[in-house]
Amino acid sequence: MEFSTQQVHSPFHFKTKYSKFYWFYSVLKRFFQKAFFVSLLLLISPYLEAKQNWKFLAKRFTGESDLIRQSSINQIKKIPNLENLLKKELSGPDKFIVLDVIATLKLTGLLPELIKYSEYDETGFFYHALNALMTTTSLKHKLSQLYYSRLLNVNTPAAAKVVILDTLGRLNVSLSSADLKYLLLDESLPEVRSAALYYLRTQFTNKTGQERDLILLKEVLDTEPYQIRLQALYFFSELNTTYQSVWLPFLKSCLTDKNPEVKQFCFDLYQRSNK
Amino acid sequence: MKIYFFILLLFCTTKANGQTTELFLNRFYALISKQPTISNSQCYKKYSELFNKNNIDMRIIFGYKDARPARFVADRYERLTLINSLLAHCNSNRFDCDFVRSAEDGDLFIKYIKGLDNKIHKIELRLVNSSVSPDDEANIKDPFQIWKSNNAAELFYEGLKHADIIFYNGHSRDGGGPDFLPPRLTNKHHIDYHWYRTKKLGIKNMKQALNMAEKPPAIIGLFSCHSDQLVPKSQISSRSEWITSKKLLYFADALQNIKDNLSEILSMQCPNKF
Repeated sequence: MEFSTQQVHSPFHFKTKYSKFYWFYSVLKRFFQKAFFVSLLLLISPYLEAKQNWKFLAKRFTGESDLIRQSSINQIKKIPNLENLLKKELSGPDKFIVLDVIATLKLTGLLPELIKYSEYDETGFFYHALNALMTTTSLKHKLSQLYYSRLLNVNTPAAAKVVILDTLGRLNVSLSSADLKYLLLDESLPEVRSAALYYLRTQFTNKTGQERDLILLKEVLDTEPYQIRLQALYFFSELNTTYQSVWLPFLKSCLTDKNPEVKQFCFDLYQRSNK
Repeated sequence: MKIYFFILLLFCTTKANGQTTELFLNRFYALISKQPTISNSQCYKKYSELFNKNNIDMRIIFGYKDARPARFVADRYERLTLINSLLAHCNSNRFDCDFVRSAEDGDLFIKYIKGLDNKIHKIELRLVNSSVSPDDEANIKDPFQIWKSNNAAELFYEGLKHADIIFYNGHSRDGGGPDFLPPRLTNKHHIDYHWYRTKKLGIKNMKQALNMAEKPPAIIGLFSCHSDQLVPKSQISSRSEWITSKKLLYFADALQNIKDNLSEILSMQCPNKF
């Protein structure tokens, strides 16, 4: 039998002498190598899986049974580093799903990001997420101030203004008569004017409305489109009789309204109020 | 010289009809645009029939999109997101844009396009939602809510009788059908799905409207969860092309689907369903 010099000089020359031990050693080595990679995979796979899975789970927050919804919420909560994951997706195409998760799980850690991105949000949905995080009085106060400052900024997108007005109405934040006049009469998008009208209605529902603001509605009855005029008339119909002397004279202009629906409702309201 | 005279004539006609400069420009751009071409004969026939009138009646109606058990109602905001797209300037490859809004009717959006017959056609798109405010608790006490719901429902069901293209974006109410009213709730303030599944009011109203239609819409889109189950069986082989969903539909996906379908139709692309 001949042995190669390589074999003689091999660092594992002992394998010929201690073959059983060497066999055991190689088995162990292979085992630990595999175990290392499997462990590595197990460590990162929840993160990899989570990246795909959280969207699937988040879409089940609505439209599903309460059981599935709650199960989805519980599973999402277990995802490691969720806030960091969401932060990265906040400016991407899945931002609506991210906002849903933030709002549902009340992830206040992402408040600074929401405030930053909401400034140029053309959909208004960042404000919905912010509203969901308003769980303390101090936060309500802080966000109300921020919203009010953005409301009158010409660069704030219209959809954001609608959400802001809805929120300020719900929080019973008072707008000045000058600001309200601008929003009711001078805003270009009808949806913003409609939201301003709804804000005024909310003030009166909460019994914090000012009679002087009702006078603005006389001009609202001269604006377009017809849906705003109709909304104003419905608002009159809900007001306490105390204010009737204020708004009843306004109806003279809508008795000859060019839109048949507005005209008819105006006539009915006028008849009803004069009884 | 002739072209200037023609432009002047077009401008005067537009102004005489009380339309704005924006509409004039919209019409002008349609006039100078290329005539669309379609090689697929079946698709060509569908679009020829669809755009064979001067005025094309399109409707997109948002149902009452509550998020019970929360009080939040979202359709007003989703409608506004769509309005942003409609009024934006068109980038290349998009056609769900460059609409002009009517000053008198806040739900009416107009666009002119060139048809396969090389003539100008006016798209009258009505875009309506069902809720007055984002608070369901407040809405059920608001008399204006009744008007809003009735207005949306009427536009939808009348549209099934008369419109050329109609899209619904809202809840399916677990098979009950399209819904434009605040939800019916159980004692625990959850949606009363049993009631919706039993009564199926939305589906019944749809069937009735379609049965009364002399010419049902060429395209009916139901952008709601499992909406393939809402299509009345009698309508499956009808002349209408149905766009439905076989699964749950997330709101952002539904919105994007509406935009994509609208763009596809206005640019006369030939989807598989044609």
